[in-house]
Amino acid sequence: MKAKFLTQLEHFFDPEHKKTKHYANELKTVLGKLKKKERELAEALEQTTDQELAKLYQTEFEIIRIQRKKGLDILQAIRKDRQQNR
Amino acid sequence: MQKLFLILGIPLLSIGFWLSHEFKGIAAGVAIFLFGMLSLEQGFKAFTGGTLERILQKTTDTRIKSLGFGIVATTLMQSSSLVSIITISFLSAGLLDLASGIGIIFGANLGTSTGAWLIAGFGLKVDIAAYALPMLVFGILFIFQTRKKLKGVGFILTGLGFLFLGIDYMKDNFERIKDTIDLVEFAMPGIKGLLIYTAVGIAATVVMQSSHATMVLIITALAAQQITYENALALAVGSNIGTTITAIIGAFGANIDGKRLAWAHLIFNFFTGIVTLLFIPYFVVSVDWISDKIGINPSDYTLKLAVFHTLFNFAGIALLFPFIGYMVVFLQRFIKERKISIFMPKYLNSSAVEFPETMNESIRLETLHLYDNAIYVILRTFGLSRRDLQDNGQLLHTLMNQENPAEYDIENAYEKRIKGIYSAIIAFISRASFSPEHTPTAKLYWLRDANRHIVEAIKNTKHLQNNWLHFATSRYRYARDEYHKIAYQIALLIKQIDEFMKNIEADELPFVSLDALKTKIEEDDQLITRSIETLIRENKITPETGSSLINDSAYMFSIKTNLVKAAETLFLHNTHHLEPEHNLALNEAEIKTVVETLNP
Repeated sequence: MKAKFLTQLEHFFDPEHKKTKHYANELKTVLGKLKKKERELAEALEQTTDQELAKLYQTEFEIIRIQRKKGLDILQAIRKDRQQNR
Repeated sequence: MQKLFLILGIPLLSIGFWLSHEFKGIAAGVAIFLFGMLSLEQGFKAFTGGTLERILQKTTDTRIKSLGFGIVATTLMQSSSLVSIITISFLSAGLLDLASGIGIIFGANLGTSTGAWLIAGFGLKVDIAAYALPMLVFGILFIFQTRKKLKGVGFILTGLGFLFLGIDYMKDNFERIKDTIDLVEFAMPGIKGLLIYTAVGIAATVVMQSSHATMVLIITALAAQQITYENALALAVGSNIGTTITAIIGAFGANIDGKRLAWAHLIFNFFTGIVTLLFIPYFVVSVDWISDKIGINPSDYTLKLAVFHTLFNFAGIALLFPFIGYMVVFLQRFIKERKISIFMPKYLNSSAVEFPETMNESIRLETLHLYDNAIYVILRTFGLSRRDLQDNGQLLHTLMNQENPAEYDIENAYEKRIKGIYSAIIAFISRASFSPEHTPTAKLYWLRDANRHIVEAIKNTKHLQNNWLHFATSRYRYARDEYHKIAYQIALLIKQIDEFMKNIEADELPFVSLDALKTKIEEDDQLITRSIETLIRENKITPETGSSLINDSAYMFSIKTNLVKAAETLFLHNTHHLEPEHNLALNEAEIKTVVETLNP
């Protein structure tokens, strides 16, 4: 209990740790937006009959898929790093 | 002016040809003579780009040497116009100063008088047409050679052949005209005659654009006793003044020193002409005395005219040569370079350097200014304006219906709209980078790169322009369509960037939109390459056209990529968007993966 408190205190005064945490939170927000958009695009893709529009949705869908994967990888790396430092 | 001559000249000449067979012969003689001069000039041009320049450089380092060069070069080439043009080009290239240029022009005036000697002493006494014909035959043989220098020799021989043939025509027809009309009836003695015939000499040279041709006409008419000796002298003075029109017309396209040189030419010839007219009785006496001393028959008026021509040009040089320095000062003071209105930076001022944020923002706004100017230049190159972007159908219609796209002077546009601003931004960034107030930030480097991308896009547009102008109205449908496609895609991307910029505040995920633009660029590039390959395979375009298209589609790709990269910095890197968004944007390899997934 005491050790956990000390670690938390240490993190509180460590600017680098604060920065990483802030970054991870922002990343989560962006990933949330991306996931929402991905879902919307999937629905739009199912409904549209316009081929040109479908192509546009498909492109954005692919881009979001890769961006999300990249984001999740970064988030995982941050978590791993945090666990190792504990 | 030239159009007016054409409109008036054709009917007047036609009436003349209909009325007089001899007039037709004389006019044909002048035409052949002028054609010969053009050919001679063409021939000498083959020797420029090395030999001629080397000689010019070595022989014009002092004013006296320049004068000598002018005399010798014009005597050899028998064309003061060619010597003037070479001199102007040397002045423009900075290889010659204005004083040396003026020295050459003075010398060229004396050198051109040797033409009168050749015609009066050789052309009228020998059957030069006999030399003309073999010269033409040998000349043509040389012209058909592939080596540039041999071709040059061919043009010189052909030129001389035509010159001789032209002189012969004029000589023959003046002889014949004697039997029908007596032009001497129009002779005018006294001051009135002097002034009128000087004006006629000026007019004839302005129309023919060659004092040489006028001199030949005067000498042949004098030999056939169709004009009086006194009037011939006035005509010669007039032709000397009229010849400056060629230099003045030539200087329209020249730089400021070329223009000053043309004015120096005009001052010299005008001054010499006025002095000669004022002191003409003394010149006549001097000509008689010189002619007597060198053994010219007192009744040989043609040779005496040649003496007169040389004498008054020599007098002009003697009077003006010591004042070349003053002439240079006068010309530099009164003919000033007109400064072209260049676009200046709007947002860069020294107070902005005080704080990093104001500095970054002022550079960003200035880069945006540069971006706007660059878009203007790119669209104008394809005959478009921002208004054409409003409707895709209209855009395509405007592109396809350009009957004769005018060549937009992109070089000048770069100087005027881009260079000044770009240089100011770079200077500002460099100043900021070394400022003790703040260390250079990543934003500063991004902005510098954005500027580089904008300039790069302009340079690629310039490369694309040549073939665009060639193929946009080509009768080869497939090549034409591909070039229209290239221009359309560039314009469309500009429109998409505009829309992206407009909606950026409302766009929750602008980096996705930007990546979508990048993917589209990559996809279009692959599609156009495939389309070109198909056209070559199906023999719808030649492999040569295909290779031009492939190069130009690469330029298109580069223009589009550079514009998107600039837009990325301008509209995203400097805004409040979250840092992870930047990190999630796709790199080139990932964009390629998306394209491959979408187009298996």
